[in-house]
Amino acid sequence: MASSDPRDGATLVRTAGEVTTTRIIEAMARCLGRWGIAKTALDDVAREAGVSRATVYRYFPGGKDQLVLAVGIYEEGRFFAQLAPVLEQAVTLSETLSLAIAEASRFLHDHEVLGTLVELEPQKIMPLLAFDRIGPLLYRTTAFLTPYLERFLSSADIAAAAEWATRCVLSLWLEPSERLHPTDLEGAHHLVDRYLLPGLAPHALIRLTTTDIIDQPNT
Amino acid sequence: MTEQIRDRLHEAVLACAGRDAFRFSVEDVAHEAGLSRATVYRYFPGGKDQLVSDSVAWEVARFFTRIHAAVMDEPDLGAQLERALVEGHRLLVEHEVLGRILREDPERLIADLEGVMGQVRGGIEAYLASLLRHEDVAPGVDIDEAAEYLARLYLTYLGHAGTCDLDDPVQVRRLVDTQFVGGILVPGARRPPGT
Repeated sequence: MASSDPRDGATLVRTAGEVTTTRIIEAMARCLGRWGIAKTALDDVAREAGVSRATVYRYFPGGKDQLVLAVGIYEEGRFFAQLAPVLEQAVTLSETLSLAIAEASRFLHDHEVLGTLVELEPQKIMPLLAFDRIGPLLYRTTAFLTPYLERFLSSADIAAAAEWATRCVLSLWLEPSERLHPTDLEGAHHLVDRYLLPGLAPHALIRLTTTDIIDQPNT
Repeated sequence: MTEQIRDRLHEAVLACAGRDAFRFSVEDVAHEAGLSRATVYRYFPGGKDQLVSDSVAWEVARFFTRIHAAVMDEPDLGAQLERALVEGHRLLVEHEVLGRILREDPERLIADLEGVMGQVRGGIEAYLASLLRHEDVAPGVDIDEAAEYLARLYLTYLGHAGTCDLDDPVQVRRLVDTQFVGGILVPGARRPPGT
């Protein structure tokens, strides 16, 4: 992170860069919320951010496509930051995964920009998640969930569980189901307890009546 | 007769797309198929757009028909899912036209795929439900819901295998046992690996 010396020139430049980047991304998010992807022009974004068009291109040489992706990653970061304290409270593996799924599903569904985009312009969202493009997202989800799953699972099984959760959330967000409802905790538990844990971590399905943590690493 | 002409036109679209992604014209397709432009428009009055959408749907159907043919010989649900994952992955990786289009114009393709995937998933669900009815399912399992779950999970794995190496049969077996059927079949329902 930034050095502690505020007079450090490199830090000031880097920090100013971060501020501008964030300003542009947040402006893009507001524009997307108003006009969607197709109708948002980088001129709109520049005006909304209070910077020149040249500045927008300097920070995002990949143009609109790069900015849309940047908004996605930024919102993902915001989501993980808000999920962390929730997962700190989870006691069991089932609770941890179910909370993660329910919170993620609700976040996407209720999100002013993402929730609207998936309904009105799904063909613009899907290419960002299709085929290999989903790889980095699977990886980042595994990285985020690792500290919360370490006490329950081996690292191979952590990746399996994190990827599984990501796949479920995305599949059900892009095409909602009449049967499976991950936006509420009960629905998320149903997914986790019925479809994942019996195969991946059957020992974790032992119901707890105390607040003891199940401490058996998976072999 | 008309089916043959449609198929010929779809094949021609694939050939043109392999060369030029979506930049081909109706004339190119007619020429490739050895038919007149008028004939193409008679079968596809919507022109290029209809040709493309219908050809995507046609190729997707062919793709899953191939997978179905490969899995039919497998003895049970678990083995069929394993085979479907491996075959599906192989067919996708080897699909030259798909690769070409994903590099050049993924948005158009994915929009067309999206239109067809709901039906595809429905078909896979129905097939899996019929298999489940012959399996030893765990108490409390809702067969239609389980079939939907399996279809969805399968389709996401087709798109990207994540950390599972689909060339390793041990990993594929473990993937199916832990994430696909683990909660659906009674424990011990599957023959141990290697038997």
